[in-house]
Amino acid sequence: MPEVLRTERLTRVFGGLVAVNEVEFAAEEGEIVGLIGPNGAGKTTFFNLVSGALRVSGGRIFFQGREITHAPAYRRAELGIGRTFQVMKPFPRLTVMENVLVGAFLRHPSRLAAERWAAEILKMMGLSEFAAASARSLTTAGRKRLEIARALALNPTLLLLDEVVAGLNPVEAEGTVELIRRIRDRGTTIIMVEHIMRVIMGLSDRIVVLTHGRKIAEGTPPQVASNPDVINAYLGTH
Amino acid sequence: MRRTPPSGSHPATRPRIGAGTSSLTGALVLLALLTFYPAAFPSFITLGVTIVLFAAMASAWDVLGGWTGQLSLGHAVFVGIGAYTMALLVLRNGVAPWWGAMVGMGASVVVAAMWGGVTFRLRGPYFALASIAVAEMTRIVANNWARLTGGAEGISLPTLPLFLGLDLFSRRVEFYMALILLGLALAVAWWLQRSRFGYHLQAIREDEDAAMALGINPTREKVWAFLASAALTSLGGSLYGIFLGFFEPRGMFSLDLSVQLALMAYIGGAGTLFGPLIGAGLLVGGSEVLRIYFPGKSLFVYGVLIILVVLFAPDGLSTAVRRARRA
Amino acid sequence: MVQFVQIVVNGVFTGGVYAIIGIGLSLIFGVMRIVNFAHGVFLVVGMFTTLFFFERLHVDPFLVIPLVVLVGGLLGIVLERFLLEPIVRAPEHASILMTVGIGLVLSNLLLFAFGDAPQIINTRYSTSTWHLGPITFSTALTIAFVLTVVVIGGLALILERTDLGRSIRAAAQNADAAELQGINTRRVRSLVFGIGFALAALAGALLLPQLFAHPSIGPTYTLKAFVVTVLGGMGNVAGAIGGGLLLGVTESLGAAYVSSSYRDAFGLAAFLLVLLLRPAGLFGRSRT
Repeated sequence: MPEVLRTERLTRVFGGLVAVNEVEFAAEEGEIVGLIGPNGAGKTTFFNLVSGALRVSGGRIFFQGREITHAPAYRRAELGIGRTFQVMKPFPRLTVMENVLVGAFLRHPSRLAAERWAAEILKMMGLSEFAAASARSLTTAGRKRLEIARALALNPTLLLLDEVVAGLNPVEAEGTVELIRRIRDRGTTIIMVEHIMRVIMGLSDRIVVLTHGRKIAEGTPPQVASNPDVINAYLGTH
Repeated sequence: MRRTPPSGSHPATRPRIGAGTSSLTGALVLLALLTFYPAAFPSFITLGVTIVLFAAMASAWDVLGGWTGQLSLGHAVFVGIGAYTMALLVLRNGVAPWWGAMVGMGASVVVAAMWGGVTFRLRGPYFALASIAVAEMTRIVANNWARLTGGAEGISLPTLPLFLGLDLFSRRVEFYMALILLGLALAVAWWLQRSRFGYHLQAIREDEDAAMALGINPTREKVWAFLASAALTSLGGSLYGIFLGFFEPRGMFSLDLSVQLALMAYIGGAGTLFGPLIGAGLLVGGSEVLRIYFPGKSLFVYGVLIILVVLFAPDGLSTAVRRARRA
Repeated sequence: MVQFVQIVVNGVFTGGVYAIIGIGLSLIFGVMRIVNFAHGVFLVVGMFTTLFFFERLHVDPFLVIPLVVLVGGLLGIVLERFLLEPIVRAPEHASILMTVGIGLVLSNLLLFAFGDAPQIINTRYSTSTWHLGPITFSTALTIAFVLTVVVIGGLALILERTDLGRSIRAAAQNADAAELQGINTRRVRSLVFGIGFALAALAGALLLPQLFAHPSIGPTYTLKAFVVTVLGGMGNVAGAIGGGLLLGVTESLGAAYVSSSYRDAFGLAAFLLVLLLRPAGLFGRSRT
């Protein structure tokens, strides 16, 4: 399988705090990789580094074999990296349709084609009936879906999902899990951060564990679940 | 299970397109109606020119301020460049005012490119602060560089050549010129409302980080918006210069003028097709009435209205009215 | 050399008053995240309050100061309660527009009340001077400077030593956390805006014996306040003192040795450069 994303000794320092510490990471095409770790482990910072929202302090990032360490965020989106934000960032004064349209314009410069593509995404995400509603009128569950829909509109090769299941009720959660599978089945590589263990263990092909910015374990869900370091990290008994 | 019709023709996506067409019709009807204004209200023709001209400049401001969300309090720079370039070329080189206006537009675009290139990495209130600093420095230079601008005493226009057989100092001619400019500004706003570029600007306004994650280069798009905004404002400035006939840096580059343009757009509804027009009508009309009774205190209306709008209609009056009608 | 010292001294004295204006603005920005575009108009309100008491009650301008501070403080609290508190959660352009509006309304009200003619106060000390060696000091500016030092010292004591000061500093650092610790941030915001207004009004009273009062000069001082706070770092109260002194001295040196008609441009140029190159201010730590 060709490699989609690789990081080499990726590091980010805030003041004196090393939020991401020499992380070696790789994801292959069509994989779902789960990224887990206790609060403050550096998962969201890792996403921000990969998507270009933050500048790296050290190390390198490669996307489809091409170095993107210093590429700006919009360039990475053009190349095929889509992301959601943990603190959701809808465009509140635009409609749901328009929110997705903004992303759809990247691959479809003509308004008609972009609108058709956006409508297709909305349908897939089950948001069609809210198309004309303003984004701020959506519920939390709706907004989380909108986050995914907008990122999908880019037709990304790699999709970074930051806690898109947390905070949903069980029915909604089940729906989103199903969606993520379908996105992967279309060939998109997915890296996801999630706190709900049942979800991440069920979905991921492979799991990477971060604590205090360091990668402490990596493997299939059963391997990681039985890894004593991981258990220690989560229970906080070093 | 809800059945959805084939993609692309989903009914929920329709109203948006419909809204675009109906607002276009609205704009055309309005412009058509306004062509009768000079015949209908010949004794209020000066007021008419002022309203239409400020509506055009407020719409021009809105390209950057409303659609892109970059609050500029320095747009008087472009009004001044438009007016002064036109006037100085007439006075010194005998260049016809319309060519002077074109040169002024070019100069404004160059200034906007440098200004935007340098200050667009500032976010939020810092961009607004920088815009004031740029404008005030320009005013001070214009005021003191007397050999170029005529300095604080100001300059007055000589007799202008006829434009296609029309006298540019006739209020009627000025009205129609302003109306054409307003038509141009409205056309730009209508296009922003539905084009890819327009959506890029709105996305930047709503959330710059999210916009970047969707492949939008904010600095580049902001600079383009600034160029368009500056060019239109500059044309308005040239016309304003002709309208006044005499002007000085203190008025043309003033902070008050910049603030007026911004408040017109916000009070009417920033980032909407008709907002700046509504704001200009209300504020120019309102301060005209106030000027009759209380000379020199016309900005009072601006202050009261912006306070009320921020408190009770934060998206502007046009949006509030539309919402009230829908409810 | 004597001339140079003289110019620097003049700059420092004016800079002290600029510091008072800047401290208020910086405090408001630090706690409320509001850039107060009406700040210069508050100063003008202080000028006219002084003028009012001086002309009606014939009180010496410097004795009126406690009253001016009180009036400014109350106005600030009232404005905050009714016009700024309702938009605490609104996007930041809302507070910019609101304070622009407040400034326009206040300056036009002053026009209604006091008319369009520039006004000046004539006191014994308006033009009197004293000497220290070859250096000349304006009596009015000297009194103003002494009062400035006293007020800044007093404010520092309040901020460092009292419960109110601790609440203000907590709210400036993290409003939500302060709220969780039982600090009434609503009250803190009102008080801070009151203090900011009072300080600006005080600066107006201090400058009045030196300058004309006119309702429309507010924006000039709003700009000076911006320059001072940006030089010192937005929200950095101690930095505002340095920013004020720096602006005072720069203006006075620039006017003397370069060109007096470009006096205001020097401050603005410095302001723009600092904004672009050192957004945290000259004295702040720049964020990474």
